[in-house]
Amino acid sequence: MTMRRPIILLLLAPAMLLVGLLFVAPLVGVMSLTVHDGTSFTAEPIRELLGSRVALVVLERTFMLAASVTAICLLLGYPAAYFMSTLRPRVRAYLTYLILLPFWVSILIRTYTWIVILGREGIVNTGLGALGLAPVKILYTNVAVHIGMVQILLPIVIITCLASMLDIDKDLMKAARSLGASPAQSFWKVFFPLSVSGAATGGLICFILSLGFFVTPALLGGRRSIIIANLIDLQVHQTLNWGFAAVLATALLAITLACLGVFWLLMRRRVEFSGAGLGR
Amino acid sequence: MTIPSLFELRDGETDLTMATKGSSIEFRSVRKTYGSFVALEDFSMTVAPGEFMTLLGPSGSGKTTALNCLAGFIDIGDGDILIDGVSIARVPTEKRGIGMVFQNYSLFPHRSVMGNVAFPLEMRGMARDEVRRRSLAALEMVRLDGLADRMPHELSGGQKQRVAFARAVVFEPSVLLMDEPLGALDLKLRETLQLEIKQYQRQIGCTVIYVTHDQGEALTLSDRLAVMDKGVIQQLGTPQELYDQPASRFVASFIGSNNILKVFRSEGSTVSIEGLGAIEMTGREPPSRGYVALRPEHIRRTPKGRASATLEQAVFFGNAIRYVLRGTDEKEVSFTEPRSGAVDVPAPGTEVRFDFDDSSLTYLPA
Ligand SMILES: Nc1ncnc2c1ncn2[C@@H]1O[C@H](COP(=O)(O)OP(=O)(O)OP(=O)(O)O)[C@@H](O)[C@H]1O
Ligand SMILES: [Mg+2]
Repeated sequence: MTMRRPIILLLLAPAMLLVGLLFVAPLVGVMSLTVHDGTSFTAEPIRELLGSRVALVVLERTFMLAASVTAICLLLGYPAAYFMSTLRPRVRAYLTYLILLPFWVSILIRTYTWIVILGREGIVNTGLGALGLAPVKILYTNVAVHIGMVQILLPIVIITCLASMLDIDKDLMKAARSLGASPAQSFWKVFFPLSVSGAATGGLICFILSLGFFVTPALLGGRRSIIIANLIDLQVHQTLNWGFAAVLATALLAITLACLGVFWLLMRRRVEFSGAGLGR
Repeated sequence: MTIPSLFELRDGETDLTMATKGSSIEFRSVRKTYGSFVALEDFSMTVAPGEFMTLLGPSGSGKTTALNCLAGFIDIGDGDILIDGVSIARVPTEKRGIGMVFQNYSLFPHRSVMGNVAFPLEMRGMARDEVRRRSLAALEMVRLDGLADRMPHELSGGQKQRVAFARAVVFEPSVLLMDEPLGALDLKLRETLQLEIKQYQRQIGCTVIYVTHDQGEALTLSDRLAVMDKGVIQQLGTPQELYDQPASRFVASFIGSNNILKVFRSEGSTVSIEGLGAIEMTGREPPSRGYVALRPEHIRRTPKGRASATLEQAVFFGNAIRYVLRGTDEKEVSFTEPRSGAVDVPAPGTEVRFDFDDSSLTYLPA
């Protein structure tokens, strides 16, 4: 039975109100700062963005960081999810639990832990020292930022991939084998195409979350690892240039939406071509 | 020059190739266990090239297990399986050259109808236009060439079944396995597709092992059939043998409908049978113990009949009437009477006299 329209609207009202008051309104406020300085309209923030080498470098860096973190997460997460999909349900449930365990610990604490592990006096370097090797500088580099972010985002990618893999009918691989496919062929011709949309979704979530990361680059990265969220923070708290902060935030939002748009277009093409999983 | 595939030949032409197309299959005392549970026990049978063999049995009787052993999806436990006299125990699934139609069709959802049918040919590294030509020929055979570009989710159940069939035979396997391929379809469609399957098999000439728990289907399609229960073959023979000479109570009750009646005692030519009472047998040595099976169509209503019982209900079957009677010992006996001409159906509660030929009784062991 479908509900009547007024009832649906009534049920949606609280959520809409909350989102409207706490999300949309501030967002519009922030975005208006990019063209309005509080008293009159101005193009200053936009001009500042386009003229600022720092901003453009940081934007590019943010984008590259998100891309490489996503790539690493997919490379590590997809095989892990595949492995889990082959396990017995009981064992898989335990593993899933273990994978989700880190979510019970705050990101801040997990990030600080990396400082303890990777620092000059950290476990890694004391270990290397004990073996008579020279210490390596990991902390406050891009490597540390990658390690920290991958550790936080990997579970999300694994779980998203796994969910789509568990949807695949295992008889399809049997069918492929009986039709002459080797184990490798049945993976690449059947399993992979059917799981790729799940992996892409996981990758997209990972990418978008990476774009907005703040704590990990701030704590584990050096001066050269600051990304757009850190730059925005700097404008708000240090230089008090709210107009510039707003224009940076808007740029981040625009990039995120653009990514979603591209993803949607690509996936729609795929669905038309393949009829797999998504849509309808 | 391209070699025509079997589907492209006209009906008459295929007859010659047929005889050489199928493989022989031999199960040699296969035993398969899951933990302590025995799924197949001393499973032996020989299937001749081009033969249509059916495994018939209730749910959980081990039919799929037997197919899975042959297809290579599970390891053969003890025993051996031979195709054309060669053991396949160590041959991987994809090298066994066996086509299989799964109960749920298992069409690849990301491939079109054409892509599904082309799959086995692509796996064999066939040239592109040859793949296309043969796939289209196979689709034409199942009359789906108009739907080549559809995706599986855009097909009806019967169409999916046909695609699955075309995909399983497009590479001209010498053995075709079908695991309840019609299980999900409605009765009308099942009957149509049964005839089609039989016709395609004659055309292609492959050896078929067909799994079903529908005895009607098994009788219609098979050259021979094996009735299974609890992982064991109960009886193996032609449909007619199994129908006319069931060897056990299980087979007698599983194939067709039957009255299975206990034999109490016999003295001379008189035997006392459950539901029938004391019967004077003239044509044949009466059974001394065990059971007898009496088919409903072998009983006829007649005023001078040797047995009588109370009519409980008369059920209208369209072309026949099924009478359900209850003997003085409370045993139910039923029979059918064709509805040709005017039939006077007695009212429930009436005493009905009936009779049968002694030769139509099948004696079964206890
Ligand atoms: N992987 C397994 N582990 C344990 N037991 C199994 C396994 N596969 C099958 N069995 C058992 O083996 C028996 C035979 O199974 P099988 O699938 O061969 O039955 P079937 O005759 O095909 O039945 P159906 O008509 O319901 O398909 C069943 O009792 C089933 O519970
Ligand atoms: Mg089965």
